[in-house]
Amino acid sequence: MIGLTFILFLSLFLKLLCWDYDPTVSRDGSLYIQLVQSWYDTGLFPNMLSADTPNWLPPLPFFLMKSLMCIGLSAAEAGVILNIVLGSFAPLLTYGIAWEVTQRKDIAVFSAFLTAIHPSMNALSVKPQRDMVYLFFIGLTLWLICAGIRKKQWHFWFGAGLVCGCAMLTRFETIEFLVIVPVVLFCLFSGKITTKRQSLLYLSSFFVCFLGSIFFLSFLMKTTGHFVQACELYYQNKYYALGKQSEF
Amino acid sequence: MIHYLFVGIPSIVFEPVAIVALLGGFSAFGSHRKNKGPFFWSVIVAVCIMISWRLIAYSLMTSSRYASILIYPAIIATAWFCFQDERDKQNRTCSFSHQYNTLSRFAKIKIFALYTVIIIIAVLCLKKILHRDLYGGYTPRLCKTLRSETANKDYLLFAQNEPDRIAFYSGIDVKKIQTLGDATEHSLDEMLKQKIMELNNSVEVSYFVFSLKKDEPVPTLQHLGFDSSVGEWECLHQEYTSKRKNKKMVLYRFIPAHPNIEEWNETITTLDQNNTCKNGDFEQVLVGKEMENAIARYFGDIIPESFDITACLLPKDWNFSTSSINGKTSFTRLTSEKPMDGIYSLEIQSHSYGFSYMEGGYMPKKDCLLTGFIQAKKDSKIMVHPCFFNSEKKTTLIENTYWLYASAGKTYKFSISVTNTQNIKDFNNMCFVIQCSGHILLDNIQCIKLDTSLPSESGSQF
Repeated sequence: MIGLTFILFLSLFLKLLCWDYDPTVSRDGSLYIQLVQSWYDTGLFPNMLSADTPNWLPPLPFFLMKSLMCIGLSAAEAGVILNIVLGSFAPLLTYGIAWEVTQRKDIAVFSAFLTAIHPSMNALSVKPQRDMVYLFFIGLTLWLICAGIRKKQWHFWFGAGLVCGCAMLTRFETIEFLVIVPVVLFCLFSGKITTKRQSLLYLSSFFVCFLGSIFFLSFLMKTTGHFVQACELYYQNKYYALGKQSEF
Repeated sequence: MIHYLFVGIPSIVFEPVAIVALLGGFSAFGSHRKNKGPFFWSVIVAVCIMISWRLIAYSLMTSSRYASILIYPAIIATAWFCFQDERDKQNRTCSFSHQYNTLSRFAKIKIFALYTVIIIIAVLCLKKILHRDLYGGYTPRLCKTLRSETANKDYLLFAQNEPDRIAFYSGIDVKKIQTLGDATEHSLDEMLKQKIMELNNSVEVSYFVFSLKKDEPVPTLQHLGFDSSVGEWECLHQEYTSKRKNKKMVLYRFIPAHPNIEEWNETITTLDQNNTCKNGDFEQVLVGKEMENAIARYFGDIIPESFDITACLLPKDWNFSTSSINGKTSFTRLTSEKPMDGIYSLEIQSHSYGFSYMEGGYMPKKDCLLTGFIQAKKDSKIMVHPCFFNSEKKTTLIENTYWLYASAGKTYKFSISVTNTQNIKDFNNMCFVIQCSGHILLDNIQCIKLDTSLPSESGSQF
């Protein structure tokens, strides 16, 4: 426990140090800052990334950054602080995953330590981008899935579905879990770790919560039609002129 | 795919961790080969799915960050490798020293080696984190110079790289930043040359931000094929982007000579009595059959369904053409809505030069001064060509091209001298062609014969 606390503080310290060493906003980060600022100013998640590019990005990380702006932070500061806080907890997630997978405390502690000092984890934590938010939610998903397999309790799969929905609203690569989860449950069922009833219960818990959290969060963020609007704009942009050019 | 597997994924996972993780994966597979439980297979299958679909869709994986989820299994596999020592087989309730003393010599060497790996990985990770990149802040420093230059001034800004980051650090609206061109089709020199040609007749100062590779020549005016008469071209800031010093970010300023255009804040002057350009004020409108024929010539076979012919007015003595690509149509028409002078002004809205074309001012060739007024609705580029043709108009000669640049919301007067026409053989007549990319109003175009006994004014010619 003391060791883990030390690792968390070490993680926070290294991230703050990295931010001091390289405070430059990245290329993608500057684009995200514009989106967050626009959302904060207008109250609407922008439909366009630039003059001619529809906004495809999932809205959750920008919503979290925008929420932090309400306490007086700029968009850039909100983005970085959000990532530093979430990144500081990443060692805890790796500890949990490693413990559930290996059941070895020494491996779990070293995994947490390695996460705290991992260069990519630190580099991603000090940029106002989506990556650390995604890694936080997906790490939590992996932990809950592993705990669900070990402990054979459906509420871990329930929680994994909720958190996986948050990850899906951060990066679309999360869609791979719609394949991974059924395959994993099939492996467990084939190996007689779980019964058919249990596997179906876990699968349905996961998917119901996955979809439920996506719709609920989209409703909360007022971005329910965002993806559909982006598709429409993409179609219009590709085949029709925008604005006055179409008046003929 | 191979590049993404061996370079992209290891770069996000961190190469030393990726190597040890691979060893850890093999060793876990080897040690569990007899006791392969479903949980083990679930983990293996999940990691394989994560890696394989990314390799299949590698063309979409523009960044190694798409594989960031693999950091978790890589770290755990690394930890597994580093802690899979002979004490696995011992009773772990005993003290470390008791366990260590009961091990064989080989096992002791193995433990020493594994702890060395742990220390090496930790040192390499901390070394990378604590490395301060002295070249990393090149964009903020360049933008500081740009901000001080553009304070309280009208300017144009062209950036080939990182427009969002430049907008963030300079405080300039990202919509104001224009690109130099399509870097996949043109070289840097070609794009700079084209821009300087277009901006030679621009009233505003232009700033250019672009990267210069180590083996690329410095883009001086002479290198780009211009002499100093086009304007002032100066490098304001340059610095390397990394310690390898193989690329620089540079900021150039171009103060154009703009010999053919000036900003106009006074009342639009009416046509001179010596003007020979017919209907340069666009007050004479085509009607009836002439109008229908002009519309048919103008649009050809592509009259849009939503086009209202009755709402379109075209001037006499001018010819137009337009085109439509992917639903984007240019148009040229008379407008009586806030004209620059008189009842009508000519409105041109076009996506590129190739879409708009207007021709007029037909007369016998002579040395003359062409003037006119432009009001820009948005940032626009205009090309003016004096053209020479023979009586049958079967062949034409475009002698020179004059580029004009108009910024949104401003009014300009352009003046172009056409001289030495006596040297143009085989062509007896001339006219003017105007093409536009943008949205402008044109009015009071006139052509005054130049007295050849006086020294002729020479405009900027390319």
